[in-house]
Amino acid sequence: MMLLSRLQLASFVKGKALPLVVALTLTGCGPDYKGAIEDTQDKSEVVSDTNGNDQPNTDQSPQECVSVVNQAQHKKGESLYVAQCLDCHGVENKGGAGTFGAFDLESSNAFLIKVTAETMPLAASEKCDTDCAEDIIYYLKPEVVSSTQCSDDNETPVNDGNDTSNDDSSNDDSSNDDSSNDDSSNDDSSNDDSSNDDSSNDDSSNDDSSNDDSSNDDSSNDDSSNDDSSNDDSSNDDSSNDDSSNDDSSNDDSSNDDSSNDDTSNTDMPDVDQCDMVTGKAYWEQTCAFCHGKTNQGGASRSVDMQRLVSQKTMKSADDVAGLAKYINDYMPGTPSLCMGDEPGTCAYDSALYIMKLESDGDSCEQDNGSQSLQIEQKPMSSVLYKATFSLAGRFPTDAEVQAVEKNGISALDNKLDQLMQEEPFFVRLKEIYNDMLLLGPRSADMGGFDENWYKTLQDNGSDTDASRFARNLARDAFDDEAFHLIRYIVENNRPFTELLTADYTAVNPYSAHIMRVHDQLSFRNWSETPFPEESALREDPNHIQKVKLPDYAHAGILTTRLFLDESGTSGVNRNRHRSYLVFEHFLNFNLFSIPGTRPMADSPSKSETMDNPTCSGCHNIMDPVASAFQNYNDKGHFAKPSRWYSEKGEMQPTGFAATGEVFDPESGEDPLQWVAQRIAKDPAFAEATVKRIAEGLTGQKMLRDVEAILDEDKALYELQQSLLGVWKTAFINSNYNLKSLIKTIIKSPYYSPESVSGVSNKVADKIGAVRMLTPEMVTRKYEAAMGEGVIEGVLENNILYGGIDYESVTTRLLEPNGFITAMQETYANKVACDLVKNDFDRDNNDRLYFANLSLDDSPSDSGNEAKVRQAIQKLIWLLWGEKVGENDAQVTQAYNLIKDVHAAGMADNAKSNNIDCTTDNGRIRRDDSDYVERSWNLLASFLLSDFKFLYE
Amino acid sequence: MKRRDFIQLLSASSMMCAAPIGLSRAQAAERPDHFFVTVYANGGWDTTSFCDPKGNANRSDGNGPVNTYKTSDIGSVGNFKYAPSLVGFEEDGLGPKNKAFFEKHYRNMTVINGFESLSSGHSIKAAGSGNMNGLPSLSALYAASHFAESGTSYVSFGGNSDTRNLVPVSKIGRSTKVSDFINPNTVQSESAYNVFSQYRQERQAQLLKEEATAVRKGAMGRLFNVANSETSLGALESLLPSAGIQNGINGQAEFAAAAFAAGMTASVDLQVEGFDTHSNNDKYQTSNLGKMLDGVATLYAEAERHGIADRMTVYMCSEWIRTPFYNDEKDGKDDYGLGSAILISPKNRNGNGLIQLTDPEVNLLKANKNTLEASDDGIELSQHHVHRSLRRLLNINEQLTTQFALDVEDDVEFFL
Repeated sequence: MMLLSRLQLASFVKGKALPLVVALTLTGCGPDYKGAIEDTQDKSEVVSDTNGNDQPNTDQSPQECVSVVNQAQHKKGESLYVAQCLDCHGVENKGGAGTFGAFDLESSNAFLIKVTAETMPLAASEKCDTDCAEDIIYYLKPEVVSSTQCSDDNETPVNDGNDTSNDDSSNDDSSNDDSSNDDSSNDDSSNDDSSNDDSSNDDSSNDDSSNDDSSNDDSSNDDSSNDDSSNDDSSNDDSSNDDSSNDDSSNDDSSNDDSSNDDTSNTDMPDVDQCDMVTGKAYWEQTCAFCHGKTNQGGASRSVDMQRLVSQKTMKSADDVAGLAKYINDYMPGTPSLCMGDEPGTCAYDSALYIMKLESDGDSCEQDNGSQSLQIEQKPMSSVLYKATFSLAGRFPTDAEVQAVEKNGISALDNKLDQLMQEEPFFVRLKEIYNDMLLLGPRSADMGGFDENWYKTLQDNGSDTDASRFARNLARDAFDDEAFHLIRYIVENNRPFTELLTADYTAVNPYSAHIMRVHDQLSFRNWSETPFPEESALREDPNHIQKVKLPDYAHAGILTTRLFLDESGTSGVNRNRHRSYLVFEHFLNFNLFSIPGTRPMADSPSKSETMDNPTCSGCHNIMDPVASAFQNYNDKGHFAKPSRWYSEKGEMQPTGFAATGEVFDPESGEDPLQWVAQRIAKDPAFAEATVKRIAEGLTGQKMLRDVEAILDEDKALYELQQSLLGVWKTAFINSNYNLKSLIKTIIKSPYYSPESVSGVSNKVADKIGAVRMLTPEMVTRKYEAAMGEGVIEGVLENNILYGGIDYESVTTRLLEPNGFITAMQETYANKVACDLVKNDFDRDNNDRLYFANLSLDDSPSDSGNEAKVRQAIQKLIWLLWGEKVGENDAQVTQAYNLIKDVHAAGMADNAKSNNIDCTTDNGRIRRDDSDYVERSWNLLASFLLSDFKFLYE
Repeated sequence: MKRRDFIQLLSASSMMCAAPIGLSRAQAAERPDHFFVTVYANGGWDTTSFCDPKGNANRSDGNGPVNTYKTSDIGSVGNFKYAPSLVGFEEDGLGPKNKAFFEKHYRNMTVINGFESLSSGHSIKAAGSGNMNGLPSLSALYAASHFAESGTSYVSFGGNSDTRNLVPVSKIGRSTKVSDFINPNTVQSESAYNVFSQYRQERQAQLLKEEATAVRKGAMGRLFNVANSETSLGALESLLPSAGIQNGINGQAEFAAAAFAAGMTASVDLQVEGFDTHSNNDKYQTSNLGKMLDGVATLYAEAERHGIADRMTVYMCSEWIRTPFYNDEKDGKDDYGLGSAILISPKNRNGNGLIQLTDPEVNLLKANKNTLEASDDGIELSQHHVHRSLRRLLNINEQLTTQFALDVEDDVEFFL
């Protein structure tokens, strides 16, 4: 084990709002990882620390001031809160309803009142005006109220210039278009067309329907979005601003703001410091952090990249606040009421100011006092190899492999991982990892336009033969696996993984090549294991994947594979929005439904509402340009150019990519989907999405998005994961998007094989490090590896019962065991133990995996056999648990005592049967076991096979 | 070490604190105090052979009679009518089974004969159990509303068990030998297996004590907690019939009652297949309706044995019904887009309640939405109306009800 140097990751928390600043030290063989961090126990402490440091704490104790609280107003606030807020924010603002957490009260009263008045309650913000909002905030913050009343000046404005009169001014803004939100009430049901998407799973067609569904996530998102609704947004009206002039003034303002903020030293603004431009920060966190992360470190989408905006001439320079504000105002999504305009004082401007300040002063905002560093120590190299070998190749490492890694350490591990990723099972695992996300499952794509009858060439006078049936299934499966063949081709050939979207080819094996009518262009290696060696058409290796370009087809990697298109579907109402949703979700790590906003009536009379109505356009401006890019593919996935796409009729945004602000030129001669795919692949979010998928696949842990980190410990975990993902992403990009390199990076990280974790609270440590219950597929492979030969049926056949997915009605794996799973684990441990013991004793002594130099005539109770029994246990523990232990290790001794004791008990109570009848799937011969030796070994094997260390990785 | 002792050991030790989520999860989940069972007639039942009997009068359209039994043989219990045995299959005793079923349950029973089924196909798109248009099944909604914390809150033996990922569903297929999982020891002597089990528990305690990473310790805690829990599958052994689990729906019913009694499960889908009788309708409907009624009888017998029968709601449904006439081939009946449904529940305030909205030729009648009597001025009821009312009866979480809204204008109350 090595202790590596530390590396500060700047991407960590910079504000007080986050409870944890992480300083991460990963000890082991991976690249240097280091995060920040400081375990600050809880929010209140942080706040008080800051107060204590930065400004005189003029707060009066709540107890003192409660007595002067206007009880009537407090009561009124309470009843308003109960009526309008409780459903979402819970009793006494403790979080509730599962969708929203507690309302963040750290901002100033003025701001809170403003936001509440303008945006709450979500579906009908007109229900709560400023007076109402005041009452509610007073109810929620009695201590501030009381202090306000104790010393009247406390309500002094906190923010920039024009906001000074806070409440009032805030009303102004709001007044305008709140109304537009009203309809929002629909939220749930209605979701935008996009919503259909999800629904489309089942009934793809009825997009509109909305239902549903989509729902799962979405609906909730809808809701959630609400809070934050504040946003800026589309409506570009005001725009004009004076980019130029603003610059200076804005800067001035900003500095003023800052100082004024700091200087105000309001007692109701305890958390103001130089980094904390309250208004901008609050706007940012309520509106932008959904996508960009609380500190612009990237969240559901990537961080705001000033340099890129400069290069696109959106900003004149990296400190062009006005330019950034204009960009926010013009292009960023959200409800419009609060964020109109881009001049100083608007939320767009304040947000721009805040994020720039954060960028420039980021480091100085970190709090280093009292930092406690998190350390993760890596397991021994042999254990890392064991876990990786099983995970990637579905087998146990050989002695030679272990010796090489133990002797040469990291470089040997690196080489070994390269080798493992050439083995066939690796591509099975890779498919599982991506299929869990894509949910293409065992589905069948429409074969229209291709030669689905190729297999008939193997028929006998028009009648099916065994060979023709085999060929039909082989080709069908290959055709449906097109997307996974493409992934395999890219990875196997070490091509940049950006080709997942940009490949101007598809990938085929010999049999899908027949269906796609391109077999003649290719040659494939021989398949020695064909079950039909007499048929030349079936003598080609189905695992030989090659790339090919279909005639008259504009390939865009996986996006134009038939099953992806067929499953994602579209319709005249949906207009490829589900496809766009999937692109953002899968390849840009961004859930479009997390964009704050609402959906008005589904059956709007306006055909261009998604463009004209700012309530819609916030989301559709992002979604529809990508949806339009799919215009040349019909609902079945056939390449079929429409006579006229909706954008040409002014009913939909044209092809483009909102992240760069580019719009596709239809006269360019390029294919719109290829054009968009190029831009998506170049976007840093594509690398993030890829890293996230692979990390989740390898660790079995969900990599949280910003919006999913609600509990404090989740926030801390999120920060940690972001730091890891950030490092892995950089390494991935630097490797020219080599997926194998990414996999190696993750596996070599101590996070993948943690031996110990220290330096953080239990709450946080409880979630740090990769550990997971093996999936039905993985545990089946492990059972079969343990047996050495033969198959074990039952787990895969009861896939759902064991927590698996069927890619259709059950799409989320169970991460925790239930009563069925533990019962199955015990049952299959017993079944597999029968085969494991029988198989190994049947082998020649030199070929045995476990029981060298033992026979079934050797009583385990006989002390003369102890050494041999202990050696067998050592081997069992290594192969089944992945731990190298000495023969006197406590675990060996416990297992040795077990076999002695069960043998004695069995001999004393052998009433059940003298014979052993292990009914496994591999056949079993009854054997006389009157000495209870084989059954004792069976129980020992079962003891290991039902252990946590076997069932989890 | 006994299971209970082991749990106490965990509770008493600091190890319990090390895995707050997992160890507390199953124990923290309050056991449901009411249980829900969907009995699903897979394929489309012939309700004229069961709860909506019509008799052998010839139809006005010349398509022959609806049934072959005499109209005068139709029986009645309370407000309900039931079909006699079908002609030619009297020895199978469907008539007496129907009679026994209605006599036992009519006081807590509501029968709805006649609503738009809204099923768009067999299997997943069948609407009877609630998952029309991709909505979660009623059982999933019930489990999510009342026992979401449990990993085994919803068990399905078939039918339509789409969960929309609300709760895990423990799907038990035809080939699944549940008894294998309940009694994993097939070859060992009892003494030896007890020794083995004791070693496993000691090993678990040791692992928890020695594990250095909280994340692994937490995962261990959760695993061991479930494996040793009073609600583990092994704990069902003492609740199941000593003779073992029967085959078919009777075994499903035995398992369901035991799982309820053990506090392991809140909702279960039972299923009988074979109702898609495009040929030999009377033969197979007799056989399969008989099986279904046997299953319901077993369910109640077992629930009574466990003392939970008065805390159980049973909903019987199918994707649709059969045509009210025989087809030209082999005496079959084809799919017919109306539905019937039966609810039995101590919560039902419309006991002995017949909502009769089919005419003698099984045409759908409109209903007065207040009285639920047939009325030309009324509305046509659909599966959505029924499920909205069921959701209210079952106190389905309001948020879920909103999230998975049923698209229908009128609220109709069938059961309260």
